[in-house]
Amino acid sequence: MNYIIHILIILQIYIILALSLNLKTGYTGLLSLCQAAFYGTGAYITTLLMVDKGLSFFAALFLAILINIFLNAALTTWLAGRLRNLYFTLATIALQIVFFGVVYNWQTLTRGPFGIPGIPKPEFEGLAFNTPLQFFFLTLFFSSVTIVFFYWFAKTPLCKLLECTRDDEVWLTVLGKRPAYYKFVSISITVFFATVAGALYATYISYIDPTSFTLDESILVLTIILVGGTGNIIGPVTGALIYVLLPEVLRFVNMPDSIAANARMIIYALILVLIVRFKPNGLFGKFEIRG
Amino acid sequence: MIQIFINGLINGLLLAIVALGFHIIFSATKIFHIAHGGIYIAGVYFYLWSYPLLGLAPAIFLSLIFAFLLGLLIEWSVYKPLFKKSSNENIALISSLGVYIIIINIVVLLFGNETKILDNTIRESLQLGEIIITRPQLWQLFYALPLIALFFIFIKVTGYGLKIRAISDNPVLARVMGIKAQKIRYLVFGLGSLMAASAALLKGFDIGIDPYSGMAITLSAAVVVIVGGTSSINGTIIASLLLAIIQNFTEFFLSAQWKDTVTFAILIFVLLWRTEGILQFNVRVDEK
Repeated sequence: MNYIIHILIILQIYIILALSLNLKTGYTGLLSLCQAAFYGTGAYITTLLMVDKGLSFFAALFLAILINIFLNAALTTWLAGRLRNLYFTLATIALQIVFFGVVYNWQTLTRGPFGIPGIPKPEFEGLAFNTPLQFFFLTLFFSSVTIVFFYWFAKTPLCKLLECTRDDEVWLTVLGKRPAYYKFVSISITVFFATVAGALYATYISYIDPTSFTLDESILVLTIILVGGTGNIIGPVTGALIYVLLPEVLRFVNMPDSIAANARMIIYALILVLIVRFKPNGLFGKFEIRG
Repeated sequence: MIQIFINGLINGLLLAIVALGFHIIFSATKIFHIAHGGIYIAGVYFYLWSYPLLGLAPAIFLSLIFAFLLGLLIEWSVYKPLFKKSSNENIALISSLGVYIIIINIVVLLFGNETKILDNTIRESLQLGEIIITRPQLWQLFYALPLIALFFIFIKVTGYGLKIRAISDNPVLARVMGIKAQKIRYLVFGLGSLMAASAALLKGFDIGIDPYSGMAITLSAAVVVIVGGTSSINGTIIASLLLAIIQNFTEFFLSAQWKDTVTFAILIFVLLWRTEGILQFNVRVDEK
C-alpha cells in the first residue's frame, strides 16, 4: 500500500513540475532546459529556511517562492529578452549548469555533495503530515490546486497574450504590449509552481543533495511535456503518467532491476524521437514546439 | 605554471577536434547535434569491444569506421526526415537529445556504467626542463596536430570543403547552384563523427572513458563553437585552446567541480556581450 502511495506522490510532484514548465514552453514558447534549477532552488531555499532558521513549512515555502522569483525568474527573463530560439535554450542549459556548480561547491551554505539530511515534515495548525498517506493528501491538495489553476488560467485574457508572445512577438509590440512583461509573468508562474514541487519533494524524501537537480532532470521534465504534448492540461499529465508508470509496467514483464533503469530511459527516449518525427504536437498537444 | 598551460594546450587540441566536428555539422545543417557526444562515447566502446578480438590497429580503424557509419545512420534515420519536412531547429535539437539518451543507455546496458581504462601499462614520461609530458599526451600531440591540419586543408582547399562552406553560408543559393544538399549533409555527419571518435580514442588512452562524460564534452564543444563564432573555423580552434587553458587553471586554483560552472558562465557572458562570437564582425546571429 505504501508503495502505491509513494508512486502516487512522486507522480503528483512530476505533474506539478510538468504543468509549470508547460506554461513557459507550451504557452509562451520558451523552450528551456533549466526546470531542475528552478525546482532545486525551491527545494534548497525551503529546506535551508526550515532546517537552519526553524521556520514552518508554509512560511518557508512562501519566502522561497519570493526569493526564487527574484533570483531565477528575473535572470531568465533577462536572458529571454536578449536571446532567441537555440541561443535562449543554450543559455538555459548554461543557467542549469551554473546552478548545479554553485550548489555543489558553496559548501558553507548548502553543504555541497553531502546533502542536507533530516528535513522535517510539514506541519499546519497542529496537523502533521508524517505518514505517507497524510503526505499523499498534502500533495493531492497542491496538485489539484495546480491543475485547477492552470485550467482556469488557460481561459484568461492574460494567457492569450502569452500565446501571442509565442506566436508573434512583433505583433504584440504593435498592439502596445511589452513582450518582456508577459515573459516575466509566465516565467514567474513557472517558478512559483516549480518551487512548490521542490518543497514537496524535499520534505517528502527528507534528504536533498545536488545530484537530484542536474541537467538530466531538466531534460526529463522537458521530455515529459513533449511526449504528452504542450499547450493544454491533459498533455503534461499524460506525459508524467507514462514516465512514472513505465518502470512499474516493466516490472510486470519481469525485466531484471539491473537493466530496468536504462531500459526505461531507452524506451522513453525512443518514444520522444518517434513522436517528434511523426506527431510533433505530442500525444495530446495543441501546439507544435518552436523557438 | 607552464605545466598547467601545456596541459591545457593539449586538452584544447582534443577539444578542438570534437568542436570542429560539431562546427561543420552545426554550420552546414543548423542542427544542434547533442548526439555528437553519443558518437564520441560509442566509438571508444566499440574499440573496447573489438580490441581483444582484433588487436590495436584494426580495432582503432574499425571503431573510426563504426563512428562514421553511426553518424550516417543518425542522419538517415532521424535528421533527414525532419529536414524533408523542413521542421524548425528546436525539433532537431530535441530529437538529437533523444538519440543521445538512447546511445548512452545502450552503452551502459552493454558495458556497465563505471569508468573503463583503455590502456593500463605504466609508461615513462618525458621531462623537458620543468615540464613533464606523459606518453599518452605525446601521442595526443602527435596525432591531434596533423588531424586538425588535415581537416583545415580539407575545408579550405578541396572541392568538397568548398561545397560545405557554400551550404553553411547560404543553403538555398548553394542548392540553386547545383550542390546536392543531401550528399553534403551525409558527408558532414560522417566527417564530424570521425573527428569525435578520434578525439575520444586519444582522450581514452590517457584518462579512460566514462559513459556519462559525453554530455559534458558536447556542451563544451558547443560552447566553443558559439564563443568562437558559428561561421569561423579559426575562431573555433582559438576558442577551444583558450577554454581548455581556462578550465585547467580553474581546476588548479579552485577545484575540478567549478570547471563546468566557469565554462558556462563564459558562455552566458559571450552570448550577451557578443552573440556573433569573439572573432566575428557581422550581424547578430539571430537576426540573420
